[in-house]
Amino acid sequence: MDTVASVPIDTPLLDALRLELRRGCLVLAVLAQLRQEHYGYTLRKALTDQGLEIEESTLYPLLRRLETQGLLTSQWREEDKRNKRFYRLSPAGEATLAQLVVDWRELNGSVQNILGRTER
Amino acid sequence: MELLERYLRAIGQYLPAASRADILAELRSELLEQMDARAEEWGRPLDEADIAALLKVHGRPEAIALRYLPQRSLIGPSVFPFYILTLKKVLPLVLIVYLVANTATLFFSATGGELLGHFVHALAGLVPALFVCWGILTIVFAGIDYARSKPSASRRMDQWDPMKLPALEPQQTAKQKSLNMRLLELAVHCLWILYVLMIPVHPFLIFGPGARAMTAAGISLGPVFHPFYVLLLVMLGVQLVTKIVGLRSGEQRLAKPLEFVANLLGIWALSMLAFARQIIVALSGGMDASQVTSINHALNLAFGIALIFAVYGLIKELWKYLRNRIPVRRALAI
Repeated sequence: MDTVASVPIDTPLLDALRLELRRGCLVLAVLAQLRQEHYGYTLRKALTDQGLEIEESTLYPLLRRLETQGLLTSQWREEDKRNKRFYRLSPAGEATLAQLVVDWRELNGSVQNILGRTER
Repeated sequence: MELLERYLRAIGQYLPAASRADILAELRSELLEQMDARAEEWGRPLDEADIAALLKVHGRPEAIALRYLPQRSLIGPSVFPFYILTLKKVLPLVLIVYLVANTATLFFSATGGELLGHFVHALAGLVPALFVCWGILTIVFAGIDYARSKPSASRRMDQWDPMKLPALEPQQTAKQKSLNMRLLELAVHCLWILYVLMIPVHPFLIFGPGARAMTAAGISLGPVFHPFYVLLLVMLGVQLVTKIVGLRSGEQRLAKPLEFVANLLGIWALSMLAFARQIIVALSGGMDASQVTSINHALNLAFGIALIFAVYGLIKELWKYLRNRIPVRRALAI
């Protein structure tokens, strides 16, 4: 392990790989979180509280894209004297999420197995 | 709050009109929430500096707006490798055709004195020619990429037969020549240098009976052949060093750079003849001056074409040599 630790890491490359790794997970997390209705600010807070930080500049375009793809529905409503856009999972989103969760568990299990085997 | 509105307006400039109001309303709502949360945390209303700091963290207006725009590319990743491959194949061909065509035009139309100026002019026209070719190929491939994005095209792309892939060619590996072969090459090269050294004393070695015919026709080689001859000897000397270095088994590190130096010297020598006004000169009372000029033009043309091929060959070899030595950082498509 000492040898691995002493090799310098290419930071921009690592950042790019992290971004790639996070991208698919974020979609899954956002869809899962929107089984309950949220508006952008509370959604981001809920994700952060559970350890998944996401920038506004990433979250809002993602929500808009998922809505265009028919996985979310949104509604403007007044709350605390302020207009807010509330999002929740659409029926198509619920079905997609169910399948994605199955895929995620399979993938996660496989990766865990591989990681467990290589770390031994 | 005026600062917030200015910020939103700056973002709005880059957004499509159809979704602008909606996106800005949502961003306003998000930013106001953040401000409320910050004010509650600090126990005081935010001043303009606080709002400015919050907006700075939120991001540059252009960057924020860009996130809402669809990703666009002229040539997508599935077509891009073919585009690059085609450029690599076509641009050198365009280069050769352009240089040959222009050199031929030059040598037939320009007089000796104007030759260099016309050559520089033709060379300057090369860049626009390459740009036009590049532009046309880019448009063609953008069209192919657009056509491929249609569902029917992607279905067609899936229909291929692995059995129709071309057969493997025998692998070309750089084989080290045997020591005997390298010694033989060195010996032949030494004989070749001796031969060249003897030419000034015995001109028949290069022209044979032609040497007498030249004298009879009233022409002789021009003064350009003196520096040409010296350069030829230097080139042969460099080649000799290359062959001596190459005798040591596995010593290939210096061989290639030395080969490039020899090639450069060869190109220099060729360019002397390609641009020389008098490759041959008339002896007193010999050939007519206009005939000598015509022969010189024809010789200039011949050496010019040889020069083009030599330059192209050197560029190609240099590229092959360097491309394996330049470290390439692979960019990740994010």
